[in-house]
Amino acid sequence: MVDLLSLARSACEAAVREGIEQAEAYAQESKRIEADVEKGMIKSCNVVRDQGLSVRAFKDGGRGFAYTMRLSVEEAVEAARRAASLAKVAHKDPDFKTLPTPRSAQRVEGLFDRRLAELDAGQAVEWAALGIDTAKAAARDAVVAGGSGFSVGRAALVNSLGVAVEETATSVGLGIFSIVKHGEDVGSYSEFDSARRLDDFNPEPVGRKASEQALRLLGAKKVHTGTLPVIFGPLAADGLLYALCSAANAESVQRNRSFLAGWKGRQVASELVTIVDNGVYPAGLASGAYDGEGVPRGETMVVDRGVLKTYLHNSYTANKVGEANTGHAARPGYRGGVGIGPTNLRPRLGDWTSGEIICETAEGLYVSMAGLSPNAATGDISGSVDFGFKIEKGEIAYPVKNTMVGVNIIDLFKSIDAVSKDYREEPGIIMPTFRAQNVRVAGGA
Amino acid sequence: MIERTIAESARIGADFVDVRINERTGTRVSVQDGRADEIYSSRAFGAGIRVLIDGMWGFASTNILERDELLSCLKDAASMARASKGRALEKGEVAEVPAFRGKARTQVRRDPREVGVEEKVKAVFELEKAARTLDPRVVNTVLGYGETVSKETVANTYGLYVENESLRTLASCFVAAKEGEVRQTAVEIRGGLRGFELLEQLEPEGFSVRAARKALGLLGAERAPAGKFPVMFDPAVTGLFVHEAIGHNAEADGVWAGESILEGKVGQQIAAEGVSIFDDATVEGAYGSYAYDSEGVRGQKKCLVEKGVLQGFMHSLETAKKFGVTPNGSARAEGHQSKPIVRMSNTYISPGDWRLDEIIKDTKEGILLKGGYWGYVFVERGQFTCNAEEAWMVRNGEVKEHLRNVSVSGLTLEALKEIDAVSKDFELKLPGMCGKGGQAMYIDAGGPYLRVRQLVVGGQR
Repeated sequence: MVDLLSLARSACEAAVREGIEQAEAYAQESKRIEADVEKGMIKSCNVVRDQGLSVRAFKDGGRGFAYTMRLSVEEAVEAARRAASLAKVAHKDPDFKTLPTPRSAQRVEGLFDRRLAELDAGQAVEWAALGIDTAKAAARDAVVAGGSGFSVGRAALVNSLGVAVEETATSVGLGIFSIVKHGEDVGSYSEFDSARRLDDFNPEPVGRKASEQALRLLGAKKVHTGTLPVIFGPLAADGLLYALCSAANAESVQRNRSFLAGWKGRQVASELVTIVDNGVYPAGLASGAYDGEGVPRGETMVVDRGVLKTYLHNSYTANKVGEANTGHAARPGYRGGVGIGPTNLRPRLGDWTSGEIICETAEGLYVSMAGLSPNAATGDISGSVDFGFKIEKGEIAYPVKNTMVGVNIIDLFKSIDAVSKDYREEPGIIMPTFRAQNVRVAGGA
Repeated sequence: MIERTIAESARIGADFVDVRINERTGTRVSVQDGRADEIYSSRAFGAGIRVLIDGMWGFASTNILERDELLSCLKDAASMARASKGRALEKGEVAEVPAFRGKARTQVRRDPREVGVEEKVKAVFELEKAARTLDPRVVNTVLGYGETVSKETVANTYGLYVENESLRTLASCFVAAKEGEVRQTAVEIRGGLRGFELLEQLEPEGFSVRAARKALGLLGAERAPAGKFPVMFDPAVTGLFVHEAIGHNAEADGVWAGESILEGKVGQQIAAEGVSIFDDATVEGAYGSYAYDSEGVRGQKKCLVEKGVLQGFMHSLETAKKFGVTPNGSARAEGHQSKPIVRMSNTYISPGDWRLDEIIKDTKEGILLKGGYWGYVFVERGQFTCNAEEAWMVRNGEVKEHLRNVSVSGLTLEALKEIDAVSKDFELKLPGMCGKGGQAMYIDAGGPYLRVRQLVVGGQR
């Protein structure tokens, strides 16, 4: 097995020898096994072994980045030299102060499960077959697609100021997409389950839920344009919470291109909305002891009773404005640079049941899943209700099609008047249902 | 090394094997707010091996390009195929292609590998500066330039052996402008199967300054209305529409899997008579073009819809066999870690006989969309969404209020039949990446201006 820490250290040292001031190297090795499902059958099994190393080199704040896909000392040194030579061409950046210095973090439990690391492709096939069988049991003629898989990976991060951290991780997942057709009428839905360890993985209901929901979406109707209360189910609500917290990216804010620039300390949501970002939740899907730059992760109150409390930082943005680093440096593997992103979002729960929220809505829209990403600069949402229902007289009346939502995300969050106490949970992440008032709904009827 | 691996595959009892070796190098320069603060260099390489044993597919990849490692990868792929043995109700199969040796290389005027990084930084800086200094309300400018050289070598058990080197360059300019509490953004993107000349030929006025003017113009734009409207598309939005609404539905893997609303509709009228749609991998210099696909089949021009009638689909070797047609070179893989799947190249609607001013004049009340931002589709239901950078109200035959960024949604089979005006113009205007099955792929899209009699507009008023 390659000593990732030692290799990353060699790369870092090689970069510094090239005459740059600070350097950081990230080495990674992973294996992913998957079983693909198409047309209700196992179509293919795949194994992808990946390895690579990247180097960031800093000269007067200017950055050079280079990577290689081979874990050898020669390749690591070559990548370090490339990064260093690019850093020398980059412009000076006085806003860059320093990379992080070493800080020890508490261990986060549940990120690695040895049992997952020891599984073979046969298990991925079993889970995929379970997904197919349960989807078909719920809807005999369903067209079933999707797949299952698991992965195991190791990564090491070293910088020239003494940071040296190494983490191992596992993950497992099953996703099933079920399509049911009654002539020209089509209903479809996707369900998933994912986890870092076997004990948290529950593939059993995935196929059944996908088909049951697909059946419920048959007979969709167009609705009339109007202004309605809209209830966002767990996945749709999570998407909106994630969009809001993503806009708190300090880099986007400092560059003046985020709709949350200038909103720190101000009311961005109703008092019912409190959002904690927890990067160290045991076995959380987005958990880790350290962020992408080796800074200990932690718990961050992003929104407290509707007030935006902080922006999410990496070392560059925190140093630039002299604020505490919240440990949100995000690194999408060895091939990508360092950005900023939220981790596990855990909103505070409300007093209602989701059933009560529906019951107390005379006329409205229920959104299960939707493409509601806001414009990053304006916060304007203009998107389709991909999977949703019309609510009439306090009940789910019928599924909708060709229906859109147009609203500014801050207006939407400010108009939230109900948050549920029941919720969907994926490891580390909590997803309640909430209702927003006065949302413009565009329909094709 | 590849041919030895193919020869070895006979011993594992495979019906079909293909080996792909990918090498990709790239450089990206980004100038933000007056500083080239990060320069990025990538070097990716590896092999992906696909085997078909008893109708089951197995796939394995490795980053280590050595003979023993490839043989080990082949065994991995075989064990993957055997892991699901007996699960296939319908066996995988591939169209047989003749033994063939091919070689292609993108011809460019100036190879960016022979241009120093300093020169790239300088060119990018000058374009960025023009946008940044245009107006004090410009608050953030990011000008990015990237080049990628991809070498893909494909060999299979039919004796096919193809080497293809593609060189692509892409320049993008993002501008944020702010006035009071109002903040708006705009982008311009140019990309092609081209060399450094792409960047050299860019003039600020038509590129970065244009992005800045758009962002500044949007500061005064109003929120769009909500509801059903006649909607007009510029060539970029037409590209987004044709890519999402019809292109993804015409990918034969989805059709075979029962996931496309076009299943069983070949030969039927699915669009208005004035609508002809192509996917063309041979457009010279276009971002989505390629000489060979990732199965070693020549890139081609495919007619998907002629005068409103569905003609056929885009195919891989596997779907061609299943549909009983000739492969048309549409299987593409993001890299060695991915399997080839059916993808679009440059997808467009052919020009018609209207002029834009005639379309506007002929519209009592409607919305003109410009600039394709993003889109997606649920192919099984044919419900698509397209997001445009900016829009205008059209009233009584005249362009009126400027509107903010907004999305429209429609149902493919309804919307295609409701296209009632197609202009004489033509432009491919959407160079970028399309995502499918976890893989990103180079594409372009476009066409003329057109009008759809009715779509849902997701506005806020």
